Amino acid sequence: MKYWVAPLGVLAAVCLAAPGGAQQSAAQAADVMPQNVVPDKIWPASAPQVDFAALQKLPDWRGLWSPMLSANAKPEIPQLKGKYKTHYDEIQALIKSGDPEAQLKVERRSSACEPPGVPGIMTQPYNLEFLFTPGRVTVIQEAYMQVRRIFTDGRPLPEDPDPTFNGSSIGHWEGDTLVVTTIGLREGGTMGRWGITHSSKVKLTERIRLDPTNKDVLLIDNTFEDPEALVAPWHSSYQFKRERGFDQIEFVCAENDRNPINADGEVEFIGVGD
Amino acid sequence: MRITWLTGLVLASCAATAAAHHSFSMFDMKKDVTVQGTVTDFRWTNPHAWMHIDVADAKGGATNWAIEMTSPNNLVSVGWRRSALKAGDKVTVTYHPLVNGKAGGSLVRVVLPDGKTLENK
Repeated sequence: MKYWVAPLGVLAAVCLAAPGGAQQSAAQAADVMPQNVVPDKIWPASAPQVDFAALQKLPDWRGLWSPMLSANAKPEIPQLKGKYKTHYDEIQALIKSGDPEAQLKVERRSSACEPPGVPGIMTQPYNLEFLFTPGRVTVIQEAYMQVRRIFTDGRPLPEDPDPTFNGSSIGHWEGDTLVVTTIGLREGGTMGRWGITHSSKVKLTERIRLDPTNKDVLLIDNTFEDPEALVAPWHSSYQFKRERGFDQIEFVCAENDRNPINADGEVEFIGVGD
Repeated sequence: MRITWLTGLVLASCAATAAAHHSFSMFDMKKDVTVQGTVTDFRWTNPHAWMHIDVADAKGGATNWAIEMTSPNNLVSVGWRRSALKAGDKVTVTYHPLVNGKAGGSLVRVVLPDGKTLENK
C-alpha cells in the first residue's frame, strides 16, 4: 500500500502546484490570470447599473427559428476579385462540369465538427434562439451549440480583433429591426454558396426583423463589404419560421464523429471494425 | 431541427449556406437498397446516430453493416427515440449504399419488428 501512496502524493502535490494547468507560471507569479487586466471602460452590458425595463420595448423573438431554405431568394452573383474570384470560378466550373465528385470537392472541410462561422452559423439545418439581456443579444445555434454575442450597449467595434469564426459583433435597434455589424472574421471564410469566400477585412451588416406581414417569420438581409475580395457589396437574405413546440437539444459533435476529414481532404466513413 | 438531410443538401445547392455535418457524396444518393437484418448496435449520438446490423451474405454468414442517420436532434421530430432500436431487433432497412462498396450506407427508412416505419429525416 505504501508503495502506491508515495507516487500518488507526489502526483497530488504536482496537481496542487499547478491549479491552472499549462501556461500558469507567469500568472501564478502575479497571482492573477493574465487577462484580468483593468479594462479601460466597463460597457453597459456588464455595468453595475442595469435597465431591464428597456427590454420591454423590444420585439418578441421568443421561440426557436428554423431556416426556410426553399424560401430564400437566389443570391446575387458576387463581384469578386483576386484569388477570391479565382476560387469562385473554379468552384462554379466544377459544379457545371457534372463531375460526380464535385460535391465532395466543393465541400471539403465541411466536416470534422468545425463550426461554419458567421454567416454560416445562422443557416445550419437546425434552429436559432435569440436571447435579449440589457445591452446584448445572444444567438444560440442548436448545431454544435454555437453562441454569437451581439453587443447593443453602444460600444464600438474592436480596433484590431483576432480573427475568429464568429468575429466581433455590435448592434443597434432601428425601430424593430436589429442592425448588426460584424468584423474580425477569419480569412477564407464562406459568405455564401458556392465558393463565395471573404478576406479577414470583410464587414458584414445584418438587418434582422420580423416579417411585418407574418410575426412567425424572421427575415435577415446581409450586406458584405470586403476591400480585398469584393469589387462591390454582395447581398444575401435568409428567412426563418418560428417554432414554439420544442426546445433546443444538446448537440456535442465530438460525441461520435465517424466522418473525419482525411489527409486528402475527403470525408471518411468509419464503418464497423474500421 | 426538421430539415432532412437530402432536402438540406438539394436546397443548399441553390440557396444559402446550409451544410449538415458533412457531404453526402460518399453515398450513392440515387440508389436505394433494401435488406433484412438483425440490429447489433444502436448509437443515439451526435453528430449522427448509427445502427449496426448483421445482414446475411453470399457465403452463408453475416456481414455487420454500419448505417448512418442524421442527428438525434432531427430524428426526435419524426418519432425516433433513443429506445427505437435495440440489439436483436429484426428489421428491414432501406439505405443509400457507400460508393466505395464497403459495408455502410445512409439510412432512408427502417421497418421495426412491430411493422412501424421510421424515416431518416
